[in-house]
Amino acid sequence: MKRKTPAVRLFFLGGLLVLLVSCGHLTEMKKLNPATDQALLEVCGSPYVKIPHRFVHAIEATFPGGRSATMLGVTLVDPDRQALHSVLMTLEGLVLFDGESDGATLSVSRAVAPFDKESFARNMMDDVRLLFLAPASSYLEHGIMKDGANLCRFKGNTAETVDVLIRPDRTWKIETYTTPFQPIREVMATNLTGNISGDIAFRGHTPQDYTLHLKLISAEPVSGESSPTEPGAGTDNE
Amino acid sequence: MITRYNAKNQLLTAAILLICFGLVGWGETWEDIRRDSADIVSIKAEFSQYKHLKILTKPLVSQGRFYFQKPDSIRWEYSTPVKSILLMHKGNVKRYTQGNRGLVEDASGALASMQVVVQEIGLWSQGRFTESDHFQAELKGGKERKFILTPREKAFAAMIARIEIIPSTQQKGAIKSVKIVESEGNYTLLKFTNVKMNEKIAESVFRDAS
Repeated sequence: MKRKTPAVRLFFLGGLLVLLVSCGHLTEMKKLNPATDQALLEVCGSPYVKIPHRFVHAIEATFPGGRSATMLGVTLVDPDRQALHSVLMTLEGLVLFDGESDGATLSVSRAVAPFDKESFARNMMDDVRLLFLAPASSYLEHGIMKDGANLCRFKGNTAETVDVLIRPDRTWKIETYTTPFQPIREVMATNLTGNISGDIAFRGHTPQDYTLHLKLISAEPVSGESSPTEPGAGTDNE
Repeated sequence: MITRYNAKNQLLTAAILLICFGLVGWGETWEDIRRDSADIVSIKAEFSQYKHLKILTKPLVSQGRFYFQKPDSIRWEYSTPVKSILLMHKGNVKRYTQGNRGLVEDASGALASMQVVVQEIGLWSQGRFTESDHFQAELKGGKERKFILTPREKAFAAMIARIEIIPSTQQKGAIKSVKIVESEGNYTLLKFTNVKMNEKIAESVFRDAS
């Protein structure tokens, strides 16, 4: 019999892993129909804000070799327009990165080294998008885990699949991966107030492993003021 | 994705923060300032930091304390929103930040660059602003006196347009505010209160984070 190549073996192993996840702990995954499955669609969208919000986080980043740095992040999220505006700065307030994205386009108004690479900007905005905006994919499957958690699986045109796991206590976990299985990002949200998480643990795998821990400083709805692509002026009320 | 924290950024950040330490003793000319600065051996104060960004409708406020002991010992400590302590003492520079694992020493590998900052502080603490390699200083008169510092180097200028320092009119050697302007609508305002000069500060303040 012909021996399987490493790539084929990897494919089977990946497939087996997916099957274990799919069959060992789940009810059958069912494709959701927007016309008839509105309640489940709402469950799948529950980790995300429904109206524009502004978030401020303390971000503790850990890099390969154990190096770490703490920064402040401000993010303006507009779910209707799938738009993001993110600013990353030092604790002393120096802006390291200021970028906006609507999913299709990315514009960076400020980026200082080493945050000035285009690949950094794209990866960072992808990270932020995963945290705050529901995947744009219209193909969505849903299943129930044995512990009662809802698993929502977004599949898009790209090779990337997004699993959103919403536990009975409403804390949530997101995993993105390729097929055959290769993890890209993992997010765990805890310490919820409403649907806003006080603590987010993030693990990224490309180009190298890194972790982020986001501690919420403030979250507020945004109405009638600046939007991610139409920044308004700050006010002098100190 | 976030890459390695940059040494230059930390250097610049620290440099900007520490500019205020040099602005002690307010004379009418640079020579007066230099002369008056010789009287200041220590400073301790509380500060509030107001970060203005175009995407914020109200500033992001941080608060903390700072300590300075001549010739080059510094403690710059944030208490909110994130506890963080920068220590410079006898040529050693350390930074600790409160994170998931408690108060942890910063391991970004950038601290060696801060030695340069300490040399800058040496100049500033003696009022020798015009001798700085990194900032060009200008004295502005008028209703409210102002010190304007502009970066000499491209790398600094890419981050900071200018720094405006307003001295206290009520307390000799004290600063009213420091405004670090990055771009139109984006700036950081530092306001100092409870400024105390020439009080004894224990050496451990500059040595230990706890």
